[in-house]
Amino acid sequence: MYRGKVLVVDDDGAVNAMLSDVLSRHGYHTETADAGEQALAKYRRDAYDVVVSDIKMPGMDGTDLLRGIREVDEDTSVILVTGYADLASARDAVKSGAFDYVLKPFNLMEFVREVDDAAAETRRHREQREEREKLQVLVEERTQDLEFQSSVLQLEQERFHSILKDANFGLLVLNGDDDGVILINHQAKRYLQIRPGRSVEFFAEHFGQLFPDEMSERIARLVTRVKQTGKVCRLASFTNDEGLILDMQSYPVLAAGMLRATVIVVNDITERTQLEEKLLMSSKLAGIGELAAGIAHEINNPIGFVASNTRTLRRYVKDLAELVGEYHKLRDVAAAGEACTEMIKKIEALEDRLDVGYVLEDMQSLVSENRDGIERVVKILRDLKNFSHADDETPQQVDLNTVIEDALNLARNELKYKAQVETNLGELPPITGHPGQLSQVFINMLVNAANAIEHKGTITITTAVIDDRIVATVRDTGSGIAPEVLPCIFDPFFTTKERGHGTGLGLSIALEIVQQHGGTISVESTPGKGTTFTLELPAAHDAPKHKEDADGNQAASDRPDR
Amino acid sequence: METRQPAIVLIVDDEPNILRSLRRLLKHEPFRTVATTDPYEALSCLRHEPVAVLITDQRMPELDGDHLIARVKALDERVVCIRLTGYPDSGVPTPTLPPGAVFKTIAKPWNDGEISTAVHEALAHYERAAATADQMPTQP
Repeated sequence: MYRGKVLVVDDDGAVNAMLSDVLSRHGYHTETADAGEQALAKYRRDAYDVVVSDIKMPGMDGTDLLRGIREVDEDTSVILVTGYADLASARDAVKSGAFDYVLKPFNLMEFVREVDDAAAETRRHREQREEREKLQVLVEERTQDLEFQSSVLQLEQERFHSILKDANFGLLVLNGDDDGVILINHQAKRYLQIRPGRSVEFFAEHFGQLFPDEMSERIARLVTRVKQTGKVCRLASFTNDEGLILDMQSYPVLAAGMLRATVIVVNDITERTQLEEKLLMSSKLAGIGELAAGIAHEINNPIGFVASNTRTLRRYVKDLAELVGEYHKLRDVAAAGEACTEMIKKIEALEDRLDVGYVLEDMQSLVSENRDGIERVVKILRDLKNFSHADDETPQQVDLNTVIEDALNLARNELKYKAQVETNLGELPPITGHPGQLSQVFINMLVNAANAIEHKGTITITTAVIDDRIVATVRDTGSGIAPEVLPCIFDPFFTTKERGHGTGLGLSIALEIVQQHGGTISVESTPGKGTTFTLELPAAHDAPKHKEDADGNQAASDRPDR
Repeated sequence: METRQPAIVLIVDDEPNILRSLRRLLKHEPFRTVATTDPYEALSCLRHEPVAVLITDQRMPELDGDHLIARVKALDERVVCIRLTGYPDSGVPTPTLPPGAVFKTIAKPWNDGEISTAVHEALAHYERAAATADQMPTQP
């Protein structure tokens, strides 16, 4: 059985032969060297499990050989052979890396056991080294992996940062528990008007220290609402000192039910808002256009009879003046004491011709009809004025029922040839808002309802208070809205009318106005049966005084889709 | 053959004040006026009375002017029809009406002279047509 390879080194050839012989018999392959230099050369060429070397040799002695071997490797066990005289240097050699020493003269059995132990030690060293090397390779591999991953991460982070930095929206991330700023990008600093001198990318400071008071209050309001609701919240648009109209919304980042961070996104909606204002204006014009013919009709009718009646009145006045002239003559004749019979006959004839009895009676009707007609015109003009000043007015306490009645007055002529209008208006608390804008909402919905009715139908308007909210429904018995179209009806420019017959803005503007009033619009429709629009608005005492609070969170709209 | 009764001018408008104004305006004219806010009553009148001229509003809830004219013409094509309209842009009759069915369209607010002239012209038109029609059977 092969037990290993041993190099035996002694300047005495007899010792070499004896040790080789005994080791061979115990399963070792042995080689011999007569001098330290030769041994080291052999050792460098070949691998051995154990080196057995005499300490005392001419030239390179055992201790030097050990040193040379250790320069090559650490694993091979070296046994030094010594006499009593050199015991001290043998012990030193063990301290500096020899496996052990054996004393001459040899106890061969002991010697072989010593070599066995040394060989075992070498194997253990080698195994340990292999193990170490394997581990080292593993560590290197892992290190490379980690380095790669970290470089990827760094790249990602750099990319992430540059995206955030150059993003065209403002981003502010706050720590969940102490509202410290975790991250803020360039646009957020600009939009939220960071205090001068604050320019670092990352903070742990409370946001209140970074922004002007007014802005901090605004952020605080939003953050409080996010924390209360745990949902996406949004403030109504506001204008910063730079004149930008900004939309600020925020959402919570939750982990295991805990608020980790509050993310605030700020968007510049200046352009969009201006566009929307233009749209609002053009839709108002479009709405007026749609109503214009009806309104002209409503005005032309009373003006028609008032003008004609006035001409009749003028004729009556002329006739009566003629008659009065005759009476004056009669008075003069009577005063002079002359005979009146002829005069009276003449006057009677004139009265007959002029049909004075009828004229006197008819004059009263004329005056009262004219008053009616003029009142009607005045009312229409007043309604129109309210409507056209929709944007000028500051929010006021409004009775929604009055708004609905105004809208009905304006749209009446459009409606009366299409539909019977039934109203069921319950008593309502006031709401805070713009009566002109709200009446535009109802006009749009009424005109829509009328358009949905092909021949003759019914439009029912109901108002009531349900769960502290003011709820108004506009129901028509028209053709209904196809389900595939229903999700689009609030989209700007969506229309089912032929080109040139509708702007497609009516409902989108209605939704916009209602949302600005803190309300919602929802719609239900059955094709062939009709459509019901439901408006919900907060009562005045619920409606926040501050405009920015008027909208609540994003779920404010019950839009049928999206 | 029945004796000819005095011609009737039939006025239809859903606005009673308009009817009263028009009747006042035509009060002293040498023909009878019948006025109603209900187009169906007008059609019934047409079946029983010798209506020569119809003055009708264009837009009415029950039946609009053009449809009324179409039905009047179907009952008696001799009736001369004048349209009154409060719509600035509805001077052109509905294409479904045969050409010539509308004798004249007058916009509200009207000019009194315009109305009486139109009614006189319409009556003259009616008389001429009636005279032609009367002569026809006597011709061999």
